[in-house]
Amino acid sequence: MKALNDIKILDLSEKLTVNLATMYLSSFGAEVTKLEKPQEGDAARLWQPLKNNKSIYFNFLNGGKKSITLDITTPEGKEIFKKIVPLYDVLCVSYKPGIMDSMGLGYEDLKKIKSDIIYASYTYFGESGPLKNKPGSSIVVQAKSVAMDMTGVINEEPVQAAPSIAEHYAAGYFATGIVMAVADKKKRGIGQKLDISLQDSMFSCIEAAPVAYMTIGEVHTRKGNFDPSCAPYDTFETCDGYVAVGCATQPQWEKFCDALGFEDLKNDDRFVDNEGRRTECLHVLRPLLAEKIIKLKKNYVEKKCCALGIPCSRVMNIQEITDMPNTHENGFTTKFMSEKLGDLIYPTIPFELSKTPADSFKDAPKLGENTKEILEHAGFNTDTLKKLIDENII
Amino acid sequence: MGLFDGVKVVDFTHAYAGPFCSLNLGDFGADVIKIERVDGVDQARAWGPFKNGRSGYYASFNSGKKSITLNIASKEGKKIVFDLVKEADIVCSNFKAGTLEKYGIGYDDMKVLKPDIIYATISGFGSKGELSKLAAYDNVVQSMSGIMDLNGFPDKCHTKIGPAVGDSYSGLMLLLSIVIAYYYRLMTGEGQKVDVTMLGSLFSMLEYPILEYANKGKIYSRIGNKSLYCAPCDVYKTKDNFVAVTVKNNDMWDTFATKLGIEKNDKFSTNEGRLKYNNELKKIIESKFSSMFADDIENMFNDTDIPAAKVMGIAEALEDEHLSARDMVVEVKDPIMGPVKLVGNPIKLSENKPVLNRPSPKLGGNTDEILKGIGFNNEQIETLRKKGVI
Repeated sequence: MKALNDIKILDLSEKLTVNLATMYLSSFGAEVTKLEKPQEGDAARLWQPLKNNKSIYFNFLNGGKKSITLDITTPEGKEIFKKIVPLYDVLCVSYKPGIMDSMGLGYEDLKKIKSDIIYASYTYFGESGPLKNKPGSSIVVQAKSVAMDMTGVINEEPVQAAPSIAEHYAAGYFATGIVMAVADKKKRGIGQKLDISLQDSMFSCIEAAPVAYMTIGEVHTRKGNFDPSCAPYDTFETCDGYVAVGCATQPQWEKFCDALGFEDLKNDDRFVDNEGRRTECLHVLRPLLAEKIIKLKKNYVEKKCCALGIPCSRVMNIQEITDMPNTHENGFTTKFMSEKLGDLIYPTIPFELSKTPADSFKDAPKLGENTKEILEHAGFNTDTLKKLIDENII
Repeated sequence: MGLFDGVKVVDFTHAYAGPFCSLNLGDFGADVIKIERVDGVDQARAWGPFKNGRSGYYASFNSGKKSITLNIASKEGKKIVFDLVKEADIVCSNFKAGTLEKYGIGYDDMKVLKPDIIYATISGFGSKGELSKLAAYDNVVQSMSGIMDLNGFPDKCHTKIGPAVGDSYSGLMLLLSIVIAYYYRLMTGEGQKVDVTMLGSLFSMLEYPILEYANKGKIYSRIGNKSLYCAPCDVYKTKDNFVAVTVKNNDMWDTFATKLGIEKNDKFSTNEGRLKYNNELKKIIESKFSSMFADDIENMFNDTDIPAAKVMGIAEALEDEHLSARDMVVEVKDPIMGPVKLVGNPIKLSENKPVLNRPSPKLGGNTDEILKGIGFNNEQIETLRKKGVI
């Protein structure tokens, strides 16, 4: 038996965030049906990278899901929608706040049709609060999440988290919230509304910034690659590239000095404890280290540090990490033999459940592949379906 | 009522990744018992900022947890772990792979005593291969995963995402895997082991560059704040700060250009043209913004459908009306540090309100209470203390 075997999800969203969340849930056994606009479908069906003119990206995010086409903005479409909603436990929506309500399909309306429905909403700024209707985009929401202010080089422009870091946080919370709600339904028999926003999701990951400001008035803004809590915890340039190294404890600092032969720094009174290293980091310790490390090779620094247990790695690009033996040994990527697109390489789901493992990947559905099956199941006959197709409602 | 009311978590987590996960379980009602080793307490207790001798860092991710100190290498300590696990539902840890097994309290040891336990671990790089024995920190994992290479400007150094995403994101992935295992346990009564790696978690966030490279041989690297798909969509310098703006289509562009008094130019009339002449466009926009305050720019688009926002810093965020209305900024009265504001919980469920206003524990602050809960009396507790077990 799969972990989420008996959960049925109707997903009205498109593009990345919610589809990633429902991909996770689908991989663990939930039955996910995408509800798409007739003719066009999910915009991500056209997104790069493509193979045989089909989107690998879409195929990855939507494998194993079903697809029904339905135009819920038409009166007939709305009525059909209300008939199929009771077949599902969870409804996922990523429209702007108020859109579903204005169509008479909001949480309060749907609760009347199915009292224990779980209504999961994803928006830029949330479904409550003074900015709920503010127009959003990924970069604009990131600007309002503090994380952007914290990323980049000192005194230079802030940097957005790339490529879709914020959306991944939101997808993680969205999927978690849904499983919590279905668990609650199992326990108490009730449904509820889930309201995940991109802004809340990204703001949740700003680490110690609030407490640093509240306790000592320290503003955690962008500081390049070093960490304000401990030192040296930074990226350094070597003679042939960059390395990142992290010393967060006293033994790590001492071993780091041993590994690279920095006896003088190890014995320097200014750096005997973390507080000294951290407060002197930017103007004293960092320049001293930089001067020494620029003379070394990146692989040498990495090897010497790792041998003594100091977290350290050369900075790698997407090619280096994807091709690295560790990536294959630990299954971070997998080969997927797609019937539609041929052999593909996919990143895998980043968590493993020993007893209920994730399903192997499957192909995504064709647009409307399951419309007939689902509507027949909901009681519509062939003649009605034909009429609905002619009228472009399904 | 919280979903996890009555759920007990034996929490071996430390630093940031693991505590971020168990914090979320506690927010929704779980009783989280944090085991702090007498031979090496949570290293975050030594991380700044400090107030009245207390680590604000630690206090940020351990709200509402209970702390017991324990020498898990001792026979008595191990027995206490087993007694706690017998009454628990979930065990969490984020040691490097193999650490708890070394102490004889790995999953195989625990499931004998408590077959339906959910045993959840975060490790750095995975359980296989030569990296498995290494400790991991966020900056190193960001560096290895490709994220650092993908962040920042093409003509400048690779950039770490400021906050430690390697920790919080792997903590979030562990949370998701725990709730899935929890649901399965509700249905079947069966426990299991769930595993997350920091490196695998960050790597999975790069699905688009991975799919491009692994299937098409195309290597993506950092492009700064630009968008590959629309322009202007970037971060622009203003008189006092920076603003992010996204113009998605021609209608938005017309509105944007009119508001800023940008002269009509055929080069910019289509999205394609704006992408092609993006650098030139950025100069024009910044020449307009250079005499304007970021707040005024954000406000000037309030009556349009153009997304625009000042890049907000922490000081302002803590006073932000919207974040407060969303319960994303919450006040906690810490017994040592006094009142502080912390980040709230982003999982907004209408029938499960997180409990967010609880302080974090003092080191071993709940040792006696926890031991009494599993049958120890005062005298026995004193003996354990003298022997250095607690």
